[in-house]
Order: sequence, then C-alpha cells, then structure tokens
Amino acid sequence: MRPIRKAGDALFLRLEGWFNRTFGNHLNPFYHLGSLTFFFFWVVLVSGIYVFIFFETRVDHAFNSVEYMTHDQWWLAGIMRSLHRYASDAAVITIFLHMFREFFRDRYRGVRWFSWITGVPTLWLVVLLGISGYWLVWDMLAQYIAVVTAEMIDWLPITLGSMALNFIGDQVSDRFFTLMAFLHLLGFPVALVFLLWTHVSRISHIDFNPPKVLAWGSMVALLVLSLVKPAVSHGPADLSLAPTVLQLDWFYLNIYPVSDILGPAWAWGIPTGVTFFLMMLPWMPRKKPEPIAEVDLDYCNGCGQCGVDCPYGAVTMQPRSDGRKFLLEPTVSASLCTSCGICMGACTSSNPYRQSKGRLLTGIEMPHYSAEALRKEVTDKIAALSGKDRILVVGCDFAADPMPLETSEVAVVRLPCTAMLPPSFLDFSIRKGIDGVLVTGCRDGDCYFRFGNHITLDRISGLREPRLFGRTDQERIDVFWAAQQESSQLTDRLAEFRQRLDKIKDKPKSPKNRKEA
Amino acid sequence: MDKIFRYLGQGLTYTIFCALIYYLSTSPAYTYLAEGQAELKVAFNHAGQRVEECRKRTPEELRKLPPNMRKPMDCSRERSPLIVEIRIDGKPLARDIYNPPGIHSDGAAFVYGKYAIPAGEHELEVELWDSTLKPEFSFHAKKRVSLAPGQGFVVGFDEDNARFLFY
Ligand code: HEM
Ligand code: SF4
Ligand code: SF4
Repeated sequence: MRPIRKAGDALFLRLEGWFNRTFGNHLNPFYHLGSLTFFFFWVVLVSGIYVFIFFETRVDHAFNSVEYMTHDQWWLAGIMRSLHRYASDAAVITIFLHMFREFFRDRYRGVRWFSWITGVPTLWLVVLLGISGYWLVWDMLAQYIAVVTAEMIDWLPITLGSMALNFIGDQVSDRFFTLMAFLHLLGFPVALVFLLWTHVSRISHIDFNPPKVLAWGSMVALLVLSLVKPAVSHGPADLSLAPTVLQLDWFYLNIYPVSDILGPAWAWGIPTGVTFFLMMLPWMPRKKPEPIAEVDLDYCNGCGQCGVDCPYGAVTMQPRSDGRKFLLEPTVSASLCTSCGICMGACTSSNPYRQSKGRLLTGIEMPHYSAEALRKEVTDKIAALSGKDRILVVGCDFAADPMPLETSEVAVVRLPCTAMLPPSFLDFSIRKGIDGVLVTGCRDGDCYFRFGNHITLDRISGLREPRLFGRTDQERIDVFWAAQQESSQLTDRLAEFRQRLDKIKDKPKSPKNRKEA
Repeated sequence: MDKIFRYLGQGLTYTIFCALIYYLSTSPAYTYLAEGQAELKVAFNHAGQRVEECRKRTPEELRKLPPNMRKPMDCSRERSPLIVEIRIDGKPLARDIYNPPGIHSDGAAFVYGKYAIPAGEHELEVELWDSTLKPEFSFHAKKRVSLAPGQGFVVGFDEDNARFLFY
C-alpha cells in the first residue's frame, strides 16, 4: 500500500505544483475538491428544480417534456438541463480526485477512518442518483438502463418475481417509472445530504463553499459547455425496438456494459468488491495509534484557544471541574484527536520562559512530545551550534524534510505540525543565541492537518492568539512553505535567509527587550 | 506577462475539464446491437411439471393422516427444470436450462434470454421441455418472421392456452 500511496502522492504534488503556479495556492482547485463537489451539487439542485417545473413524471409524457425543454425552450430549460447533467458529471470527477487525494496523502487512516468510511457510501448514492436521472428521460438510453437494471435485479437471489418481464412487449408500467422519479427527486438526494452531513461532522471549520473565483470559473465553464454542446436525448423509448448505438455517460452508466458483456454477477461483484476494498482500506494496514493531547488543568485558564485552533473539533470546552475560578476547561476526545499538537501551540502557557517545578508544564500538550521536551531539544541543539550565522529551522513531518539542512550552524527541529510550535519559542530561540529562525511546513493552503500553516502564519503576524511577542525582531524570522518534492527550494530559501541575516548581523537582537537590556 | 500566462493556464484547465466531461458523458459510444442485427428475446414465467407422478393414497394411508390433511392425492412439490431450445433457419441458436426457484424447487421458473440475430426473413423454431417424466419436448412452435434491423422480437408463453406467443 505504501509504495502506491507514495507514487500517487508524488504525482498529485506535481500536478498541484503546476496548479499553484496557474491558479495561485488559494485558488488551487485541488485544495477545494470537497467544497467544489458541494458547489456542483448546488448547481445540480438549482438546475434540477427548474427542469422539474417542465418535467412530466409519467412514462408516456416524460420524453416529450424533456424534448420540449431541450428544443423549444433551449435558451433556458435546455441550458438548465445541460447544466444539470454536466454539473453531475463534474461532481464525479471532483469526488474521485478528492478520494484519491485523501488516500495518497494518507489522510484516511487512524482517527480519520470515520470520514473515509462515511465517504464510501456516498459513491453509491451519487451513482444511483445519476442512473435514476438518466432513467427519467425515457429515451432509448433510459430503456436500455431499465432493461439491464431489471436483469441485474432479477439476478439477485431475492425472488420478488421477475422485474425484466415488465419491459417486455408494450406493456411497460408506470410503476417503476414513478418509483425512479421518487428516488431521483427525493429519496437519493435526502439520503445523500444526510450522509454528507455525517461525512464532515467530525471536522471543524469546514468550508462548504469553494472560493468565489473558482465557483464562478467553474460555473462559466459549465455554461459555455452547455451552450456549445447541449445535452440531448436518444430517440424515444420503444419496447418493440432494441437499443443499438448508445452515447453512454461513462461517469454514471459504466456498469451496464459490464452487465451486458460479462453478466450481472460481474456487474454486482465489481462494485461490491471495490466498496468492500475501500471500506477495509483504513485497516490495511492500520495506522499505529498515536497518543492524544493531554490536558493539565493546573496550568489551564480555560481561555479556549486550543478548542478554537483544533482542526478536528477534538477539544470541547466544558464547565470547570477542579473548583478553580475559571469557567471552562478543555476535554480531548480520543476518537477525534489526530495527534497534530496544534492545541499545544495554541496554549499561552506553552511558554518556554515559564518554569514550574523545574519543568515547563502547560495546559495542553502531547504526551510523546511535550512542551518540556521541545524546550529541551531547542535549547540543546542551539547550544551545540558553532559558527557565525546560527539558524534554527522548524519543519514538519509532512512537507519538505528539513533534516538534511542540519549542519554545525543550522539546528533543525521537526514537529508533527509546524503549528505545534508556540510562537514564544521563536523569541526564546533568538534569545538563546540564534540569529534567525526559518519556519517551514506544508504548502500554503494545503496542510496535512488542514490549517497548520495558516495558524502558524497568523500567530507570527499577530493576527491570532497566541501572538508572537511584539519585541521579537520579525526580520530574524522567515516562513517558507514547501512540499516534499520541494527540498531544493527549501535549501535555496535557507541560503537566501542566511544572506539577509548577514546584512543585519550587527543589529541588536531584541531591540525592544528592556528586561535583557 | 506572467498574469497572462496564468489566465491562459486557468482557461486551459477549464477547457480540459469541460472536454473531459463532455467526452466521457457521451463517448466512447457503446454498441449494444450491431448494425443489421435484430434482437430476439425469449421471456416468460412457466412452472414445470412435477418430477414425480401424483399417487392416489390408499384408504389406510388416509386414515392415518390427521383429518385436516386427508388429501386423496400424494404429490411431491419439486418441479422439473425447463429447457428452452431455439433454432433459426434450422440451425440451433440456444439451448438453455432454467431451474425452478424456491427451497423446494417448486416455483415457476423465469425464462429470459436475449439473442442478437441478423435482420431479415427467418424461420424461427422454439421448443420447451418441462417434464422430467417425458422424453420429448412438451411445446413446440415454428414461425416465419421478418425482422427489421434494430427490431426487438419477443417470444412469450401463454400459460392459459399452453402455447407460445410471438410479438
Ligand atoms: C459526495 C462527495 C463528497 C463530498 C462533497 C465530500 C466533502 C468533503 C469535505 C468538504 C471534507 C473536508 C475537507 C477539509 O476541509 O479538509 C471532506 C473530508 C474528507 N473526505 Fe470527503 N467528500 C465526499 C466524498 C468522499 C469520499 C468518496 C471519500 C473516500 C472514500 C472521502 C474521504 C474523505 C476524508 C478521508 C476526509 C477527511 C480528511 C481529513 O481528515 O483531513 N470523501 N470531504
Ligand atoms: S493534537 Fe490536534 S487534533 Fe488533537 S486535540 Fe490537539 S489540535 Fe486537536
Ligand atoms: S489553550 Fe491552554 S489555557 Fe487555553 S483552554 Fe486550552 S489548555 Fe487551557
């Protein structure tokens, strides 16, 4: 599994690099695949409601009502019909890219199994939604779908009589048609909404809408496509005729030729097998459980910043239980915590200047990499440096690897997420004798832990609590985001930073630091 | 200049995206029935005969049974499988076996087959064998048909009059 994931990840990173150059990081569609899918569903919903006004849910009128839209009212209903079809197809593309991306980036195992598992059945619902939609047109393609669906259902060992006999001769009944209309218009969409709500329920600060520019861009693109190549029907359904050449929508109808050529057993077997495989994926192999964040109420003032910053909604604030005068205290949910450590970076008491019983104890931290351990590592590594320009590089486990940068002049600390670093550590390192700190992590807009890089930058620029002390010389801090493949850019950036530091060599390190003066 | 390239890149992305959507929503075309072919479907429900003859119970046997179960005939539930044979212009096209459904193999079997045949005039022969007790086919029908390309032609079975139907 690992080599496949690595290869896929490398491919995606390369593609995304290209998109970063053309769209800019904040508009990179790869960083908004989930919300783009939601956007396409909106387009599908709105166009669907319009199309429904003209649609007749009766088997003998359906085809003509769709023809009316496509040809007589092509300028609106026809466009709406095309948008309805093409936005559904677009959603399939974004859903699959989204799924592959989460897999390649290893964001599907561990506590993320839940998002993964609830994602899988959405695939079935989306496909069923598409199939039932094509059924409603009641053209030759719909007839083909109806007959093959009936054959597939008849193959299942549930003896409800034979469904295929309903599509023999001219005796087609309204029953299945009405059933399909019900499922397409209500049943599947409601189930999908419920499932998607569950899918994202464990993640906090979800952006359901893509950036406006991206939404408009996609909308205009789909509109142009609808005008250039309007969606059309096949000939009207006629059970005395057999379908001949069909313009299949392969996004939704790919299973039908499988059933035709290989038989219904394969047509059921392949999707069932794929579903089963996808469902098992988070446990093949399972991600080794990591220790979750721990709260130490003695050092917590209930400010709630850890809860605000946690990207997984794992920290909830509850009434204080230890009798101290504060209103609230954080609790960490083991089933949600991804062990990113962002909460530790958020806590004001993760302050390296603090001492308590000879140790640095803080309100919330990671048992396997405590604030004390971080302070010790930073202190020891700085102390071991020699040479004239001494630099500390803080990197993360999921982006360009900072370890190769380590030399006698450069100390490197690697964290699960850059946002695990409390900003006071930057000031602390400079006071310990470092000339500059280079903070690096996942690409802008694409953090393995969703927002780590944003949070880090906001803290350093003073936009977010806990802020970097005002006295700290910003010139001595550099931030550079680089993906795994961009190690050479990171090396270049360090060299540049070194030159800049060289220029301010003689400047006092903390001009505003009165205490030190 | 840089900006122009970026917009061009974005335009290209949207174009590729739309081209992919359009292409895969219609192509490659799938040929269900090749040109010049017609489709013959054989589809009906039919219960095969019992696999054993019913036997008249003797008066002693009847007396031993509880009063509510005293039926004069003793019949097994199991039904024969069906065999459907089709010939076109004297040449065999298909011979399919359909087993009766149900735990006791006592249901009506559902016959369903579809065959692509060249359009044109044909002599169509269908036979149905539905009893393990008889050595020969129980039902037989022969019909001259003229099939247009793309036509769907169905062979059914009229259970009430025990004969094949063509439509
Ligand atoms: C109907 C289609 C779907 C929609 C609209 C959708 C939407 C979303 C959204 C908005 C997020 C949050 C992303 C973020 O803000 O970081 C998300 C997360 C996720 N999705 Fe989906 N999703 C869909 C289908 C799927 C499928 C089919 C899978 C895989 C089988 C999947 C796997 C995941 C995973 C693993 C995450 C969690 C990522 C993390 O923990 O960082 N999704 N999805
Ligand atoms: S370690 Fe990360 S996921 Fe866990 S509680 Fe802290 S911020 Fe949330
Ligand atoms: S950030 Fe620290 S002080 Fe604030 S609530 Fe969380 S643990 Fe307590």
